[in-house]
Amino acid sequence: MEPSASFYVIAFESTHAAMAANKALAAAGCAFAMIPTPREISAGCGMSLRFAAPSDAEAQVTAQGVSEAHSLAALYAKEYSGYRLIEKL
Amino acid sequence: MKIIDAFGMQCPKPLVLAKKEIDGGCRELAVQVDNETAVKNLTRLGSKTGLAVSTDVIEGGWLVSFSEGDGAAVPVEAPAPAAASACAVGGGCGYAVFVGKDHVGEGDGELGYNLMKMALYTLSESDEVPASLLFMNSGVKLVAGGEQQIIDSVNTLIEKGTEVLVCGTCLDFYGLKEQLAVGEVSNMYDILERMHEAAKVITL
Repeated sequence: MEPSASFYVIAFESTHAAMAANKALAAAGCAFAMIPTPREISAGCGMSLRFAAPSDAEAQVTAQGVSEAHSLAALYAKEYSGYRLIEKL
Repeated sequence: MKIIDAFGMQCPKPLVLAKKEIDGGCRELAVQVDNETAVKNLTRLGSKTGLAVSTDVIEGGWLVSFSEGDGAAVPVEAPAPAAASACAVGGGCGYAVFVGKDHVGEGDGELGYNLMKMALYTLSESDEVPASLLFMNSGVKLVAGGEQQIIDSVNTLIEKGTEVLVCGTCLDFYGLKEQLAVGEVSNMYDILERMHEAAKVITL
Protein backbone atom coordinates (compact mmCIF):
# COMPACT_ATOMS: atom_id res chain seq x y z
CA MET A 1 0.00 0.00 0.00
CA GLU A 2 1.60 3.21 -1.15
CA PRO A 3 1.73 6.13 1.27
CA SER A 4 -0.55 8.92 0.04
CA ALA A 5 0.86 12.36 -0.55
CA SER A 6 -1.03 15.67 -0.48
CA PHE A 7 0.80 16.81 -3.61
CA TYR A 8 4.08 16.43 -5.48
CA VAL A 9 6.89 18.88 -6.17
CA ILE A 10 9.48 18.84 -8.92
CA ALA A 11 12.63 20.75 -8.02
CA PHE A 12 14.96 21.98 -10.73
CA GLU A 13 18.67 22.52 -11.09
CA SER A 14 18.29 25.94 -12.63
CA THR A 15 15.74 28.69 -12.99
CA HIS A 16 15.94 28.41 -16.74
CA ALA A 17 15.06 24.72 -16.56
CA ALA A 18 12.14 25.53 -14.25
CA MET A 19 10.76 28.20 -16.56
CA ALA A 20 11.18 26.06 -19.66
CA ALA A 21 9.44 23.10 -18.01
CA ASN A 22 6.69 25.45 -16.88
CA LYS A 23 6.09 26.52 -20.49
CA ALA A 24 6.11 22.95 -21.81
CA LEU A 25 3.65 21.74 -19.18
CA ALA A 26 1.37 24.70 -19.80
CA ALA A 27 1.40 23.97 -23.53
CA ALA A 28 0.52 20.35 -22.77
CA GLY A 29 -2.40 21.52 -20.65
CA CYS A 30 -1.19 19.99 -17.39
CA ALA A 31 -2.55 21.38 -14.13
CA PHE A 32 0.27 22.51 -11.88
CA ALA A 33 1.37 25.56 -9.91
CA MET A 34 4.67 27.40 -9.90
CA ILE A 35 5.77 27.77 -6.31
CA PRO A 36 8.86 28.89 -4.40
CA THR A 37 10.99 25.84 -3.62
CA PRO A 38 9.94 24.72 -0.11
CA ARG A 39 12.53 25.47 2.54
CA GLU A 40 12.85 21.80 3.46
CA ILE A 41 14.09 20.97 -0.03
CA SER A 42 17.49 22.08 -1.20
CA ALA A 43 17.68 22.51 -4.93
CA GLY A 44 19.67 24.49 -7.41
CA CYS A 45 16.93 26.98 -7.91
CA GLY A 46 14.17 28.73 -5.98
CA MET A 47 11.37 27.88 -8.43
CA SER A 48 9.54 24.55 -8.28
CA LEU A 49 6.47 23.02 -9.85
CA ARG A 50 3.70 21.60 -7.72
CA PHE A 51 1.12 19.17 -9.07
CA ALA A 52 -1.40 16.58 -7.91
CA ALA A 53 -1.23 12.88 -8.71
CA PRO A 54 -3.16 9.94 -7.29
CA SER A 55 -0.03 7.92 -6.51
CA ASP A 56 3.75 8.01 -6.40
CA ALA A 57 3.91 5.92 -9.58
CA GLU A 58 1.76 8.35 -11.53
CA ALA A 59 3.71 11.31 -10.19
CA GLN A 60 6.86 9.62 -11.44
CA VAL A 61 5.37 9.23 -14.91
CA THR A 62 4.58 12.96 -15.02
CA ALA A 63 8.05 13.82 -13.77
CA GLN A 64 9.71 11.54 -16.33
CA GLY A 65 7.77 13.30 -19.06
CA VAL A 66 9.15 16.61 -17.88
CA SER A 67 12.72 15.39 -17.35
CA GLU A 68 13.01 14.14 -20.92
CA ALA A 69 13.27 17.71 -22.07
CA HIS A 70 14.55 19.61 -19.06
CA SER A 71 17.11 19.13 -16.35
CA LEU A 72 15.32 18.24 -13.17
CA ALA A 73 16.83 17.90 -9.76
CA ALA A 74 14.31 15.68 -8.02
CA LEU A 75 10.71 14.68 -7.38
CA TYR A 76 9.28 15.00 -3.88
CA ALA A 77 6.01 13.99 -2.25
CA LYS A 78 4.48 16.33 0.32
CA GLU A 79 3.21 14.50 3.34
CA TYR A 80 1.93 15.63 6.70
CA SER A 81 5.40 15.32 8.23
CA GLY A 82 7.29 17.04 5.42
CA TYR A 83 8.72 16.30 2.02
CA ARG A 84 9.72 12.77 1.02
CA LEU A 85 12.22 12.34 -1.80
CA ILE A 86 10.86 9.96 -4.41
CA GLU A 87 13.71 10.04 -6.87
CA LYS A 88 16.53 12.13 -8.20
CA LEU A 89 15.96 12.82 -11.85
CA MET B 1 -29.37 35.92 16.04
CA LYS B 2 -25.88 34.90 15.03
CA ILE B 3 -23.23 35.41 17.69
CA ILE B 4 -19.56 35.55 16.75
CA ASP B 5 -17.04 34.95 19.52
CA ALA B 6 -14.03 37.02 18.57
CA PHE B 7 -12.32 37.02 21.98
CA GLY B 8 -8.57 36.71 21.53
CA MET B 9 -8.73 37.83 17.90
CA GLN B 10 -6.71 40.78 16.73
CA CYS B 11 -8.07 43.40 14.39
CA PRO B 12 -8.89 42.95 11.50
CA LYS B 13 -10.13 39.39 12.15
CA PRO B 14 -13.34 40.32 14.06
CA LEU B 15 -14.16 42.82 11.33
CA VAL B 16 -13.54 40.28 8.58
CA LEU B 17 -15.80 37.70 10.25
CA ALA B 18 -18.60 40.20 10.76
CA LYS B 19 -18.32 41.51 7.21
CA LYS B 20 -18.52 37.97 5.85
CA GLU B 21 -21.83 37.38 7.66
CA ILE B 22 -23.27 40.72 6.58
CA ASP B 23 -22.16 40.26 2.95
CA GLY B 24 -23.81 36.84 3.12
CA GLY B 25 -27.15 38.48 3.92
CA CYS B 26 -27.15 38.33 7.72
CA ARG B 27 -28.84 41.45 9.16
CA GLU B 28 -28.80 40.51 12.84
CA LEU B 29 -25.65 39.50 14.54
CA ALA B 30 -23.56 40.17 17.62
CA VAL B 31 -19.79 40.05 17.98
CA GLN B 32 -17.92 39.51 21.25
CA VAL B 33 -14.60 41.35 21.23
CA ASP B 34 -11.98 42.11 23.85
CA ASN B 35 -10.38 45.25 22.43
CA GLU B 36 -11.60 48.79 21.76
CA THR B 37 -10.13 48.95 18.25
CA ALA B 38 -12.47 46.16 17.23
CA VAL B 39 -15.45 48.00 18.79
CA LYS B 40 -14.62 51.13 16.76
CA ASN B 41 -14.15 49.20 13.51
CA LEU B 42 -17.34 47.21 13.95
CA THR B 43 -19.29 50.40 14.67
CA ARG B 44 -17.95 51.91 11.47
CA LEU B 45 -18.89 48.76 9.54
CA GLY B 46 -22.43 49.11 10.83
CA SER B 47 -22.83 52.63 9.51
CA LYS B 48 -21.29 51.62 6.17
CA THR B 49 -23.83 48.85 5.71
CA GLY B 50 -26.90 50.66 7.03
CA LEU B 51 -27.29 48.47 10.11
CA ALA B 52 -27.99 49.85 13.58
CA VAL B 53 -25.12 49.16 15.97
CA SER B 54 -25.18 49.05 19.74
CA THR B 55 -22.39 48.23 22.12
CA ASP B 56 -22.71 46.68 25.57
CA VAL B 57 -20.02 46.03 28.11
CA ILE B 58 -19.84 42.35 28.96
CA GLU B 59 -17.50 40.21 31.03
CA GLY B 60 -14.13 40.21 29.28
CA GLY B 61 -14.91 42.95 26.80
CA TRP B 62 -17.77 44.21 24.70
CA LEU B 63 -20.71 42.85 22.75
CA VAL B 64 -21.27 44.76 19.51
CA SER B 65 -24.74 44.07 18.13
CA PHE B 66 -26.00 44.72 14.62
CA SER B 67 -29.64 44.86 13.67
CA GLU B 68 -31.85 46.22 10.93
CA GLY B 69 -31.41 49.98 10.92
CA ASP B 70 -33.53 52.57 9.16
CA GLY B 71 -32.46 51.02 5.88
CA ALA B 72 -30.41 53.82 4.37
CA ALA B 73 -26.75 52.94 4.00
CA VAL B 74 -24.58 55.86 5.01
CA PRO B 75 -22.28 56.56 2.06
CA VAL B 76 -18.63 56.33 3.02
CA GLU B 77 -17.00 59.71 2.44
CA ALA B 78 -13.57 60.17 0.93
CA PRO B 79 -11.05 59.47 3.72
CA ALA B 80 -11.44 62.02 6.48
CA PRO B 81 -9.04 61.95 9.45
CA ALA B 82 -11.88 61.12 11.88
CA ALA B 83 -13.14 58.10 9.95
CA ALA B 84 -9.73 56.66 9.26
CA SER B 85 -8.39 57.27 12.77
CA ALA B 86 -10.58 54.54 14.28
CA CYS B 87 -8.17 52.05 12.83
CA ALA B 88 -5.12 54.31 12.96
CA VAL B 89 -5.30 54.19 16.76
CA GLY B 90 -2.32 52.08 17.72
CA GLY B 91 -0.81 52.43 14.25
CA GLY B 92 -3.44 50.99 11.94
CA CYS B 93 -4.45 47.38 11.57
CA GLY B 94 -3.42 44.54 9.36
CA TYR B 95 -1.31 45.02 6.29
CA ALA B 96 -2.19 45.96 2.74
CA VAL B 97 -0.50 44.58 -0.36
CA PHE B 98 -0.40 46.86 -3.37
CA VAL B 99 0.04 45.28 -6.81
CA GLY B 100 0.60 48.04 -9.36
CA LYS B 101 2.03 45.86 -12.10
CA ASP B 102 1.81 42.28 -13.27
CA HIS B 103 5.42 41.42 -12.46
CA VAL B 104 7.78 41.72 -9.53
CA GLY B 105 10.91 43.81 -9.99
CA GLU B 106 12.45 44.89 -13.26
CA GLY B 107 14.76 43.07 -15.64
CA ASP B 108 13.51 39.94 -17.30
CA GLY B 109 9.77 40.06 -18.04
CA GLU B 110 9.14 36.34 -17.81
CA LEU B 111 11.04 36.01 -14.56
CA GLY B 112 9.16 38.99 -13.14
CA TYR B 113 5.80 37.46 -14.02
CA ASN B 114 6.75 34.11 -12.50
CA LEU B 115 7.90 35.89 -9.35
CA MET B 116 4.49 37.52 -9.06
CA LYS B 117 2.78 34.13 -9.41
CA MET B 118 4.93 32.70 -6.65
CA ALA B 119 4.52 35.75 -4.43
CA LEU B 120 0.72 35.55 -4.56
CA TYR B 121 0.91 31.79 -3.95
CA THR B 122 3.14 32.32 -0.92
CA LEU B 123 0.82 34.99 0.50
CA SER B 124 -2.13 32.65 0.07
CA GLU B 125 -0.37 29.86 1.99
CA SER B 126 0.31 32.11 4.96
CA ASP B 127 -1.71 32.13 8.19
CA GLU B 128 -1.50 35.91 8.42
CA VAL B 129 -3.03 37.10 5.21
CA PRO B 130 -3.24 40.76 4.16
CA ALA B 131 -6.26 42.75 5.30
CA SER B 132 -6.44 44.06 1.75
CA LEU B 133 -4.96 43.23 -1.65
CA LEU B 134 -5.11 46.14 -4.08
CA PHE B 135 -4.67 45.95 -7.86
CA MET B 136 -3.97 48.91 -10.13
CA ASN B 137 -2.63 49.56 -13.63
CA SER B 138 -1.22 46.40 -15.23
CA GLY B 139 -1.74 44.61 -11.91
CA VAL B 140 -5.42 44.26 -12.85
CA LYS B 141 -4.39 41.94 -15.70
CA LEU B 142 -3.57 39.33 -13.08
CA VAL B 143 -7.17 39.08 -11.93
CA ALA B 144 -8.91 39.76 -15.22
CA GLY B 145 -7.91 37.25 -17.88
CA GLY B 146 -5.03 36.03 -15.72
CA GLU B 147 -3.74 32.50 -15.20
CA GLN B 148 -5.78 30.04 -13.14
CA GLN B 149 -3.02 29.65 -10.55
CA ILE B 150 -3.20 33.36 -9.78
CA ILE B 151 -7.01 33.37 -9.59
CA ASP B 152 -6.81 30.37 -7.23
CA SER B 153 -4.30 32.13 -4.95
CA VAL B 154 -6.45 35.26 -4.77
CA ASN B 155 -9.56 33.17 -4.05
CA THR B 156 -7.74 31.43 -1.22
CA LEU B 157 -6.83 34.83 0.20
CA ILE B 158 -10.46 35.92 0.02
CA GLU B 159 -11.54 32.76 1.85
CA LYS B 160 -9.02 33.54 4.55
CA GLY B 161 -10.34 37.06 4.98
CA THR B 162 -8.47 39.35 2.58
CA GLU B 163 -10.47 42.09 0.90
CA VAL B 164 -9.50 42.30 -2.77
CA LEU B 165 -10.05 45.60 -4.55
CA VAL B 166 -9.42 46.06 -8.27
CA CYS B 167 -9.23 49.51 -9.86
CA GLY B 168 -12.26 50.01 -12.12
CA THR B 169 -10.64 52.75 -14.16
CA CYS B 170 -7.70 50.48 -14.94
CA LEU B 171 -9.98 47.56 -15.91
CA ASP B 172 -11.83 49.92 -18.19
CA PHE B 173 -8.61 51.25 -19.73
CA TYR B 174 -7.41 47.75 -20.59
CA GLY B 175 -10.89 46.67 -21.71
CA LEU B 176 -10.94 43.96 -19.06
CA LYS B 177 -14.04 44.78 -17.03
CA GLU B 178 -16.00 41.81 -18.34
CA GLN B 179 -13.14 39.45 -17.57
CA LEU B 180 -12.71 40.20 -13.88
CA ALA B 181 -12.52 36.75 -12.31
CA VAL B 182 -12.03 37.66 -8.67
CA GLY B 183 -12.17 40.71 -6.39
CA GLU B 184 -14.40 43.78 -6.23
CA VAL B 185 -14.31 46.65 -8.71
CA SER B 186 -13.18 49.67 -6.73
CA ASN B 187 -11.89 53.20 -7.02
CA MET B 188 -9.02 55.43 -5.97
CA TYR B 189 -10.79 56.61 -2.81
CA ASP B 190 -11.35 53.13 -1.41
CA ILE B 191 -7.93 51.87 -2.48
CA LEU B 192 -6.17 54.79 -0.82
CA GLU B 193 -8.38 54.43 2.25
CA ARG B 194 -7.28 50.79 2.68
CA MET B 195 -3.64 51.87 2.43
CA HIS B 196 -4.20 54.55 5.02
CA GLU B 197 -5.94 52.17 7.43
CA ALA B 198 -3.27 49.50 7.26
CA ALA B 199 -0.44 49.32 9.76
CA LYS B 200 1.85 48.80 6.77
CA VAL B 201 1.60 48.68 3.01
CA ILE B 202 3.68 46.18 1.04
CA THR B 203 4.19 47.03 -2.61
CA LEU B 204 5.01 44.01 -4.75
